[in-house]
Amino acid sequence: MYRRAFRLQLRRPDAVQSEVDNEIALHLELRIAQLMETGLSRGEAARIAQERFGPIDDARELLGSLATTRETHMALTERVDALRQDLAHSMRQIRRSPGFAAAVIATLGLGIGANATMFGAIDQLLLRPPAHVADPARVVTASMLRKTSPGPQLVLSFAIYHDLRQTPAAFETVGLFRGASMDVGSGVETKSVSAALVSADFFRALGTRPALGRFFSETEAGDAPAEPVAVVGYDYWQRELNGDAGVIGRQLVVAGRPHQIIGVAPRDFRGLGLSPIDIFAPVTDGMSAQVIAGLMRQRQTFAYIIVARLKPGVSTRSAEEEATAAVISGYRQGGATEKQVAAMSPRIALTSALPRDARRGQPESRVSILLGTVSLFVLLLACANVVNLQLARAVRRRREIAVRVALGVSRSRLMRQLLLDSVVLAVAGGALGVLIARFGGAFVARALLGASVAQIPATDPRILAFTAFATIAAGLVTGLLPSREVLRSDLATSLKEGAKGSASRETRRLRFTLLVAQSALATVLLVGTGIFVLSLRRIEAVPLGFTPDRAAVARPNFSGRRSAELPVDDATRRAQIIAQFERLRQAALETPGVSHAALALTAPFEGSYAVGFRLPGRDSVPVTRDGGPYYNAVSGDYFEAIGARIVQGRAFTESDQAAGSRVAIVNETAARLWWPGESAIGKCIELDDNSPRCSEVVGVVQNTHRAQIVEDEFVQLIVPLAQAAPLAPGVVLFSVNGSTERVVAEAHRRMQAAEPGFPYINVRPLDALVAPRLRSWRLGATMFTVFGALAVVLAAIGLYSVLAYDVAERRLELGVRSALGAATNQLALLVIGRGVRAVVTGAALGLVIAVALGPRVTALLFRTSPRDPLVFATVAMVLIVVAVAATLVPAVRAARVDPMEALRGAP
Amino acid sequence: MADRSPVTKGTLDVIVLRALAWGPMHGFEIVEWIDRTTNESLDLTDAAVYQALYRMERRGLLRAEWGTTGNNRQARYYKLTAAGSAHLRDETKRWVNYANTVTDLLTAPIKPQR
Repeated sequence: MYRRAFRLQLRRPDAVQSEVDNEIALHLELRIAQLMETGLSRGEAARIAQERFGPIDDARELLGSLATTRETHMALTERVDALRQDLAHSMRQIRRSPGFAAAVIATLGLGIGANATMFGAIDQLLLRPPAHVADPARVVTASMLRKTSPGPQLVLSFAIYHDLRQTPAAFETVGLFRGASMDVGSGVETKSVSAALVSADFFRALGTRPALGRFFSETEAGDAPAEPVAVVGYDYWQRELNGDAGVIGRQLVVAGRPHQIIGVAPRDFRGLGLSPIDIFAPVTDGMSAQVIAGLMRQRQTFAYIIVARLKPGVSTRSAEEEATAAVISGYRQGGATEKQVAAMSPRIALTSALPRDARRGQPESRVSILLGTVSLFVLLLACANVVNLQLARAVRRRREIAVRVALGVSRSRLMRQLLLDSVVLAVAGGALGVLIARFGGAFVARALLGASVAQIPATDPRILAFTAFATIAAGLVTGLLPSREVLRSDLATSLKEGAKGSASRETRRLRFTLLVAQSALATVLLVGTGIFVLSLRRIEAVPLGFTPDRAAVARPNFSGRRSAELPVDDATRRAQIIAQFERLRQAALETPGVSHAALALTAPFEGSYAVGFRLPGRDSVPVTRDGGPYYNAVSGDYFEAIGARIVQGRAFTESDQAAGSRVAIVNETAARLWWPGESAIGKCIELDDNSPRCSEVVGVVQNTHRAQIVEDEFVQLIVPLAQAAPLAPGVVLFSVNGSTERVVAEAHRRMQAAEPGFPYINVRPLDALVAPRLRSWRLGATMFTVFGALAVVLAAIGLYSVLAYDVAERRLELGVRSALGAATNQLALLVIGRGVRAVVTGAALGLVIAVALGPRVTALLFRTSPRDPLVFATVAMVLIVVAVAATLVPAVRAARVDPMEALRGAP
Repeated sequence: MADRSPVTKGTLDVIVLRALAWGPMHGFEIVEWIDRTTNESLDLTDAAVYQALYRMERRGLLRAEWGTTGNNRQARYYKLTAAGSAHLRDETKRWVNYANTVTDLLTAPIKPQR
């Protein structure tokens, strides 16, 4: 017991050594005394004693070091012991009140889970640097701004890539790539996988090293096409090639041609994006030297993302200046006049590959940050709730604490114990939170970023670290206030009053404040829910000009190349393609549930084409800010197939053939802009194609959206496919009645069977093209609803528990009042009044906060005011109803207090 | 004294634990007990016994406390812990089994091979 009093005190090493010395000295002394008793002289006895003991200096040293390690060991053991005892005590506390523990764990679990979920999304979107990209701050992507076009050009052309390579002072390496889908395998085994077409210096610009083998050489991905080669992604290698290290050198059929696998990309490498890439192929893959030579000179074919690595120490701005100068001189060399260059005044802008720069301002980023903030609110609310529960319980525990203080347990020890109690609960909550984040994270990632995005498990070290931090913080926050409260109480009074004791005035005020804060937070979140749901409803109701839920699009893949719609100068080849498409159209049309099917160059949300044109007799023609006119070439049933309405005139018919008179259909905006106040029917348009002849406008179609749900008006021109030579169709469109999934699957089967020559036909409901545009809106509304509901439930539980404890605590007072003749409904009102007062105060505060925060979310809303009065009113009502409901049970209990029992002090 | 047996480390530990089975003792008392009980037939320095004590104290088989001897001297008294008692029991059983087996083997009558 001697050591116990000094527990945790590590003795100094010299003190330990002197203990050893004392022990040896005593031993020798006793031995000498014993020997001298047998008649030996002192000197002789000392000699024998030392001999029997062994070398003394060695022993001193050895025993000293053993003793030192023993001391360290024991100090540690005692610490662990103390912690174990405290933990055991905490566990006993939990077992003693399982209901309370469950409430705290569930509350914190939900709060922590919500945060871990949102942290995962934010981390993936905005924090985590792209994997396997060396020094990503120096990696930039280029975009071009021109005065002649409204927005920045994010995809650029080969010629610009070559310009940027002529900037030795700015960039170490310049690479380019393009995302694509490619067919791998042959025959029925063919699968469409995500691919990246890259230049040889793409990997060098990113500083990525292969997991196996090597990446492309300049000749393999450059001007001189060599033997076809490919690099496979790590996941693909594991999944489809069994992670076999012997794949290097093996053949893989990509886009219909055998490719030699030369390398495996490192695990989780996704370029600069979030989606896994299965196959990397040279950007010139499958092209003839002639095609490549032409492509290299292309200045206006914008299809490639240019990535570059800045030289060390070069600022983005000076690199931008140099790149801009290079591009301008490139335009001049390409034959542009000074006037044209001045009109465009092209400028190159560079964005770092760090996600916080690269994805700044994107709707996904903004929504995830907003929801992250909201989840933090939820955690705060959960903590407030737990503090309230703890405070209520602290009143009950005061007697126990007082007894322990009286027994001599130090206050710091008690404080530690109480904090540990709440940390233990928080850790259990954190574990629950990880579980929630596991499912929630998968849901959010899918809802926010789409199914193609790589999943990051909730057990990812970064997410776990965040969760652990949130857990400990929650544990300390929820433990600190209540334990201070408990320890402040006066010992003698506590012992006397015991468990009956009522909360101090300050405790009560604190609890009331917490209730108000909770209601305020819940109000803010509910307002958020309201306006985001309203905004989603409104954006979903935007008429797109066609019926995405009752139409589908099929896009056949021509041996890996995505489209056939590029000019096909060979008339026979064109006729062949049209015949193939016609057979696909027939197959679709014969599918039960399909009433219309048509061919088209492109479909809404599938990409658009622009065309030049003139109106006879006019110098200039008004177009919209968005550019255009956008162009499509379609067969007869197109408008019925996608559900677009002809508002004036007629649709195309079978008689609109190549030989017939040329006709066109314009959209409402074009009709209004070009012939204001007159009918467009019968007017003449001269298209900039091979033979500038008059195309007569025969119909006006309602405006259909081109690529976005929220987009500017634009002008559109549609011609019969038969008159659009040399363009060939790119898609088959068909209407769908009944179960979309079944009809689409059946149509897909029939089309694939009708045209086995196409390795792969991609058939999707038009909805699937539109849905990604709704993702961030839908996620915002969904998560706000989840968080809002959570907030209200938490606030209601908080209110209920506080009032319930209140009533239990004030039994005496209520009993006295009852005995003095207070009516039972008066007593109930007393309780309800207190609850409702807290909620009303909180709600008012919350509405004020919501008004103040409103402008911050305006950008995320669609035609919805963040201060929508209807939403505000509804929220206020919901809160009051919830408040009354939550106070009802405690109020009834208060009304039923039996004065006799209460006054007698019976439980 | 001429014919002393060497002592292995593990055996010494058990012997020391056995000494303490009688109750707390200080180092000199333990050494004396061993000498007395074995008629000084073990080849052992006194320091070795202290090493054994320190080692076992670290392992938690013993606990030491300062106390006062009959002559009013401060001495470090060693005492078995619960873990020490258990260790002594187990080791004793093991040792006895082992010794019996070897003894049986060595003293069994020699039979002709069939």
